[in-house]
Amino acid sequence: MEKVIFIEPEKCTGCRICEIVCSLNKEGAVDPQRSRIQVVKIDSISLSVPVVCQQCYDAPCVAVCPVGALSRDEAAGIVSHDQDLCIGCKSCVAVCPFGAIGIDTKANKVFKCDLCGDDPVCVKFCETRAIQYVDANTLSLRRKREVVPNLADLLQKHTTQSAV
Amino acid sequence: MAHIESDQLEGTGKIELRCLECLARIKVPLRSKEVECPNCGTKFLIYWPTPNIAKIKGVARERLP
Amino acid sequence: MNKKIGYVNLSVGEVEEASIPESLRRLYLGGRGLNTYLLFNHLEPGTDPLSPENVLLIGAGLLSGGPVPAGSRTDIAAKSPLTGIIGDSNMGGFFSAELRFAGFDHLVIKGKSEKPVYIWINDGQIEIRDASRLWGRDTLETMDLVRQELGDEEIKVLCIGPAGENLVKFANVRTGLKNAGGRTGMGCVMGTKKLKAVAVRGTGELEVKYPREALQYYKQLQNQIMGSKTARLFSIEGSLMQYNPTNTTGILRVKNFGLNRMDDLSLTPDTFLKKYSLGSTACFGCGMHCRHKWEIKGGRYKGLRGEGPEYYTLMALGNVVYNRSWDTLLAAQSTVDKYGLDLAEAGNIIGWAMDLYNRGIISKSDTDGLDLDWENSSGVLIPLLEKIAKREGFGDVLADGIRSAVERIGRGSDQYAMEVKGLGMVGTDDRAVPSLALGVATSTRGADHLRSRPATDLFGLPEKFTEKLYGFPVSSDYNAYQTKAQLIHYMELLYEVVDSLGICKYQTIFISPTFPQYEEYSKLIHYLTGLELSVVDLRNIGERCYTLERLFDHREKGIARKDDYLPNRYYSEPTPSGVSKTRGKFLDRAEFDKMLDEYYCLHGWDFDGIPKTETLAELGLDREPSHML
Repeated sequence: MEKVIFIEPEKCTGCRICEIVCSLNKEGAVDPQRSRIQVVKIDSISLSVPVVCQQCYDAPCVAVCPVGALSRDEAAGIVSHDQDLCIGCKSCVAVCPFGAIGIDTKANKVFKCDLCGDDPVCVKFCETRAIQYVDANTLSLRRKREVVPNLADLLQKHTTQSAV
Repeated sequence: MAHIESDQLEGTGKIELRCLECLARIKVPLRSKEVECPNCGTKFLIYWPTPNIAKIKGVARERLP
Repeated sequence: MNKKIGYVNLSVGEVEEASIPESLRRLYLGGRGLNTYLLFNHLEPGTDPLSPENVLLIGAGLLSGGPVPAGSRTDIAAKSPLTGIIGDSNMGGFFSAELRFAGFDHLVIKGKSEKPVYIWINDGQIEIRDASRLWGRDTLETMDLVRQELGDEEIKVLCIGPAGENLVKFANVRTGLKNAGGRTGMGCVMGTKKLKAVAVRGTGELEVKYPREALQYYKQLQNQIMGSKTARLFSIEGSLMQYNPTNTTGILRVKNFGLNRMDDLSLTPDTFLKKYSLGSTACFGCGMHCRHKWEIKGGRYKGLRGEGPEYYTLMALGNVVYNRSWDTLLAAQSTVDKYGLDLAEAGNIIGWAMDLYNRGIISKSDTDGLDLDWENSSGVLIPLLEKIAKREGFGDVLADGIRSAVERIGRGSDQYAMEVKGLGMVGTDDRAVPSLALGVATSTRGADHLRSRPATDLFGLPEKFTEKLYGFPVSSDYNAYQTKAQLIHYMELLYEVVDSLGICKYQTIFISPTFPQYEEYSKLIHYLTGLELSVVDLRNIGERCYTLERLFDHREKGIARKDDYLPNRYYSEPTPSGVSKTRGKFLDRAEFDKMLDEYYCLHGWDFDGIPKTETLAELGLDREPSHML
């Protein structure tokens, strides 16, 4: 069963607990700057969106890395980053469509999400389940099932009218 | 602020909450809009912030001084 | 614990910094407690709060920004221009976390700038910058302009609006879309210093002594809190969830004072949820996300958006002024947010003015022609708020606070003024509840419930349960006077610790007996900072900080027993409505006095409410002012 990170921004409240616990887990301190997941807010339209590596199947960062420090690990279901091979050229930062790769100016390296070895901490702490870790095979259908009740009222009205 | 914890009583289709007049427990059937305290007779208006949580909105039909 | 304290002198444009000694943390923690210490030591006794010699403190809690439940609070303090005693206000949002990431825990701001300025704190550097382009702008515009100028959307801003610039005595400070350090006029103090804003951005880290343990314990606490029914309800309704129970019970102030229940149910949370709410948002590190986002979808204010409202908003701009329109309430909230005006104080003084008008004590000639009939509340509320913020006409009479307005109007208007120590009364009517009444009467910043409110006293918890919770049994009868002094004393010390740690009270035993208190804080402090502070240690810290506030009040204005009473009418007029436990009730003065005696005794203060010499010695306060920092 391949699990993937799944984000539903409409559930995000902007609390940034994911940033607190990710950095605490990975860096041993609370450090949003070095959290692998970060929340972007646009207050004027009441929007909060957690942004993290999507572990792309055909990752641009893998393609662009000049030293092969980034590669897709099918078994783990992640794009893995080898810190030893990394030269910090930051091409991956430039090419990622999500801005999901961060720059660590203390260690002079880049960093990205590795799903905490199949047990993502951010998912454990997200109170509204805006961030989930779910089976890729059933994700799409589950999402449809979640959305359908919102249409239920509309559908019922329509059915009654056409029956008349 | 009174104790408004309420939760569905298993299998009864009713939510329990406390009367604000006498603090007795009242069983509120799901989706009902009004309820009467079996102990003191005070009538309350009810609303449902979620399908499973009942809250008192106010006192029903009371004539105030 | 390696964050610094920054000293800014606006008169000469100088900045200094220092480390905060661990010994001081053991005595005052941070946030509110350390702010009080700094204020006591740095302010010359008898200083005019409007003068450049007033000292403004901004403090992050000891645990703000950390893996703690709702560690998002910022404390701001100074000598209050409204009351002349301790000015102190607490706000949520994201400011204190960012301040700490930028390397600072506390700021001490002195002097006054000739021209408008703002302070910019960025990764260890403090700079004073020109704010002439910002002066005159509302709070939201100010925050946007600062971010634009400095080129970073992640900058957090704490600022004043036109009310603070116009030195309205109850102007507030604002951060984010709606967070506010509302009470005691801290915005006015910033205005006197020509300090428009403090902007902060930090990319540094917050040290955690035992990361593994901290992370594990954080999860445990989150489960403890979020697993409860109270948290579930709070995360849906927000602080508004308190409204219906208190209104139905009959402990809300209606039409300034007199009535204690709103018969009209137009302004209840269920309507808000259905017609205005867009969902929930949170402060830094809080899983309970109690703050709503709202939009007015039709009518005169169509398209207006905001965050909130809180329970207090609903009271101050609702029942106190007899406004029964949700549209007006939200638009009024938006107004105070933009102008930077304390809605608690504003609602209270407007309620008083309306009361005078409806009794024929003042008329249209006093009110710039506005018709302050109770039935016209939604028509005059926003114009009055704007007049106050701009100090225009009748607004100028009100802008100096209720005691000053009473003096200016005379005509027996003092009888209807609801205040304690010069701070406007809370939105609840506590005639039937001695514990709440005592807490409001003795609060060190004036009429205020947040120094001690034991909301759970209304739950009727059995004595066996409260004995486990507090260490002593509390009468389950909320009409009782017995044991309530002990309860208030306990809560005062606890909230002092909570405010000094930077934790939000909504995730403490404030609203649910199963939520965290001393035991949990002791562990959190240890995991995050390494400090070993037992429950007893924390209680002593609470006692020290609270007594220091009392000492400050006494030093600056001779605050003593005579000031620890609610307005006279609380002791003589029976409540007209409510449930049987709240109807026909008023405070018994003799019983209240006995509670006060007991309360002073518990604090180690004398019969007149002055801290005794031996108490000061025990708490180490006989050495203040000590200028350790």
